[in-house]
Amino acid sequence: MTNFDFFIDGSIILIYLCLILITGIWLKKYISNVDHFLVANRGVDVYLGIASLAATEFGIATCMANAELGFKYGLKGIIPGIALGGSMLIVGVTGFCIKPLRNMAVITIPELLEKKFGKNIRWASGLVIVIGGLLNMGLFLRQAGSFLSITIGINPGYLELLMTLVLIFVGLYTVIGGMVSVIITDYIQFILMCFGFVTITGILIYQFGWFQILEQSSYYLGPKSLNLNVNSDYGFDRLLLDILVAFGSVLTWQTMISRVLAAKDSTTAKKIYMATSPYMLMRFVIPVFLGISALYYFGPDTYVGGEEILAMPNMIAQLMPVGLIGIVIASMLAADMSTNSSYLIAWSSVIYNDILEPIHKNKWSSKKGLFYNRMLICLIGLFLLLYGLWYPLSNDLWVYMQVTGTIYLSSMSVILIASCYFKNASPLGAGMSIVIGASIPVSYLLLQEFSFSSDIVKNIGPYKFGVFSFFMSGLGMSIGSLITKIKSK
Amino acid sequence: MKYPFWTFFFVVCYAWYIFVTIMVSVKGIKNIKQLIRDIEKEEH
Repeated sequence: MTNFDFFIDGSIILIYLCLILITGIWLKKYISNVDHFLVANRGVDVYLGIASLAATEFGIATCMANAELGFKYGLKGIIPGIALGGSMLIVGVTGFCIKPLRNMAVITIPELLEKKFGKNIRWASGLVIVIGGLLNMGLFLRQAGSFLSITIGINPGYLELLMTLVLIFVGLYTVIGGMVSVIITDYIQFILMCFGFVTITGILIYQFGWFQILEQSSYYLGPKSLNLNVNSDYGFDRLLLDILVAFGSVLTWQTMISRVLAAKDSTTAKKIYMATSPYMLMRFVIPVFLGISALYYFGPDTYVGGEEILAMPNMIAQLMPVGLIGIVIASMLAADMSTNSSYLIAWSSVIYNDILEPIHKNKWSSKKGLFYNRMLICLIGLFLLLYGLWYPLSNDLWVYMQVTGTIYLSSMSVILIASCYFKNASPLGAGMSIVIGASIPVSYLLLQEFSFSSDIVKNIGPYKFGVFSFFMSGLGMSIGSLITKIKSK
Repeated sequence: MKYPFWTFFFVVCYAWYIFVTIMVSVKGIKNIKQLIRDIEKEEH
């Protein structure tokens, strides 16, 4: 059941989509080389940087994943947001790693790593970044499709069609306008998102009552859901993984770091991080609030056994009145399109700049470079479509995103810190770190699919795997560098 | 008042969110103009 009206709400969404598409296509004339396409000519100032970074990291998948945390764990679901916002603030204030990174004027992290560890490490890190990044993004389209089919009231049988439409639309303006188009459309989407989210929050508080929502959450999930202490539901291993993933993302997540690299200078990059850090918290505060409101509305028994993620979109579909639901869906689409477009360009930039570097050696003409970047975006889109349809999600979406992110966050954060601040760090250490850091989370993803190992892996849990991956990756770097030092003596 | 911490926390978070969004929407437009001007200048 939904209040969506195809004439009124549909028109609102159509106007919004036209605005974005026209803007994206109009900006094509400003793209004449790969630097314009991938890092917007490094001309992004503080305010545009904030809008772009905040809009990028808030998509429908994030919103649904974090609303699921709220629905299942109450306000405790905000913990990863505190870790993320806090780490971004610390990195922004200190300039830790991001200052040397921006000063090097590189396009991606692997490009920086080449200067310290050589070509092989650049290539290997590019590969691991793409694998982790694409798997992480793999379920974005599916979530967007589910959200739209529920809120618009389309038969779930048309999920594939909706996923394809979202992809084609995002792909179109990203392929045409590159990073300039992504950043400027991010700006429009950022404003619309704020309007949409504040409106939903206001309506929910008006309809349910602020204290009633919290009281009911406490009643259903227990008083522990309203405090931030770790307990059996939200253990120490989970908290530790939240913190490690948060620092790792802030330092090396390509979509975040590409805003640092697109900034005018390192001071601007630091300011962007400092000012965006509270948005990283809001990225959890808003969806978690939607999640606990859905819990209030439906109770704990309507969505169980992996269906908790569907509670929030169903609540929006049933509660938002005609007119407003169109604005809310447009704002969620805005959030999703800004995320998808940035992610598409981020991973294609790593494939082109680092994995394909031995082939083009930076000697291709601007026209040829742009053509291949655009082709890569199309291929990534195709992969996302197929993977999103095929992969069965067996855990919290947020946990899936953490585990897949860890494939590269663990080693890249270790290697980046080592390359910036440890003069004894060696290519052997970097190589060991990459192999160990990637193999642990990949093993987790594979082993949970086999019947003989599924129970053991599930008993250990994704959090211990993730934390282990970070520590072993650090150990690999230390041992490898030590071996190199001993050999050189 | 019940739940004073969470009430204060949400009020501060949302107030900040709205304030910065207004700031960004006003000043971001200048940055867009500047970005486009810079690219045009580089191409000529």
